[in-house]
Amino acid sequence: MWGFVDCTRYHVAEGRPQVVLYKASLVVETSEKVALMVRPGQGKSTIMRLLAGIDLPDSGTVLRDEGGWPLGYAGGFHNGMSGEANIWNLARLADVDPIELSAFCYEFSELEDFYHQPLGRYSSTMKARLALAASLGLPARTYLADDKLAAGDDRFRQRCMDALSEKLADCGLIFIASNPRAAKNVCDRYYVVSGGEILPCEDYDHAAALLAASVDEDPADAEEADVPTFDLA
Amino acid sequence: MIRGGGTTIGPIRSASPGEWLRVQLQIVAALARRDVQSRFGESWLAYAGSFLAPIAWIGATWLAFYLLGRTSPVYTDMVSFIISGLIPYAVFRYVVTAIGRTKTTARGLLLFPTVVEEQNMAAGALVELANGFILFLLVAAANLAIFGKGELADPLAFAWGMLLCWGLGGAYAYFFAMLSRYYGRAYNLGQLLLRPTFFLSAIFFTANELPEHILDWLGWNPLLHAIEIARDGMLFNYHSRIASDGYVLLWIAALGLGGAVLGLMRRN
Repeated sequence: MWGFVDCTRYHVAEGRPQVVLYKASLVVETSEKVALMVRPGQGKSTIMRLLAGIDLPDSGTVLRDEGGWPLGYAGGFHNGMSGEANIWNLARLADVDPIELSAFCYEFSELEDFYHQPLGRYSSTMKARLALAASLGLPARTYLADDKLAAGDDRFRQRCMDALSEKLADCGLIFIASNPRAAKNVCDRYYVVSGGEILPCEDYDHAAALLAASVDEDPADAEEADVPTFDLA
Repeated sequence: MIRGGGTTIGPIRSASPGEWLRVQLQIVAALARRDVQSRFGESWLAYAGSFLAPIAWIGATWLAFYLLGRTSPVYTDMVSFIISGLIPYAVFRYVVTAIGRTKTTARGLLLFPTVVEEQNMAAGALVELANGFILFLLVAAANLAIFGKGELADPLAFAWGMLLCWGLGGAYAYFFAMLSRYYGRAYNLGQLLLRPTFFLSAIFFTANELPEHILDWLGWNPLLHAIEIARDGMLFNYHSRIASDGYVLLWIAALGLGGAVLGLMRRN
């Protein structure tokens, strides 16, 4: 089970609190597919870090389950190492067979000879392809996706979506998205994070409309009306 | 500022202790390999280059001794005397730096569910331990090849002293890394407190040559004990009158326990 119980998380920027979550609650079963829509710059990565367990809430509790792997995350790769060496290293970190994972990544990423070259020579799309291949080859129980489910050209994006759909037959997805379209037809439940609250939505259209409405709001008004105040002493 | 009053309820591990240990060792080994490759690249030449700094450090000390007319206080050659203190100290100091570095270098890996900060610290520390022994072998071999001198009286006792220096550095860095989860600048404070140890830890002198009233004070420094144990093991004609491994182990246990308690308090 994943989620938040009465969670509050804020940053202090230029002496003012920026609220990401304020006494927010959400419970997601391990195999559910849930989209959390967040406006750009409103704490998408912070929510991801909370779910991954590398950031703590200021109050409340974060619920985490086993096997929550980031989807298409290239931040763990090292530029000085080849694609192959990075995948072997990842396999050891994940306790899976390195030969099997490496074979899958080589085939899926379609990097050909680049697979054996240092990541420093890769374009950002090539890195994204390798990262997606690695994620899809790992035994995740729940994927944690930060704004992207696929990468590359249309054909490769479709390949990623097909592989992901297959994986999602028996594993979950928490998709933290700033672009609502990306979550369409992938998730079963939709939420919008606004003013620190996690607002449940009836369906995708409702979520997209709510997110658009929150973008249209005047930030100054929103600050006065919605942002809770904190004693920072 | 103290951050975070909230909690995280993590997954419940159901693996047996043996299986858990196997996975932990595999992860630490993978992180250590990544650390070596990320710092030194895939070429052994770059890895060898990383020893140039400590070797230059030893050379500069030898030159300073030569210019100041300082001779070895023990019946041995100058290089052997210098490395009997400097290399154990380097192991201590480098492990502190390595553990501090993991906070930034391994940050990207923490998003993986199997990786935690402590494993990165262990990996960084293990790499430095290996580097310490490789550095000793390189310098001792060079001393033998160039000056025809060198000694290693009791290899096991020397290795024990090196391990104590490493353990002390690791426990010290772990404690301050955990403290820095509450107070962001704690690790910098820890580094600052180490500055005087370079001059107070029997690197350029031996504990045996110190007057009693000074040794009464410097004897509280656990690093001095650890370095003296390594020196005792390395040099044929030196037997320290103060070295106590029990005292060093006590410090390692206290700092390690303190760090573990701080980490658990933060988590819960």
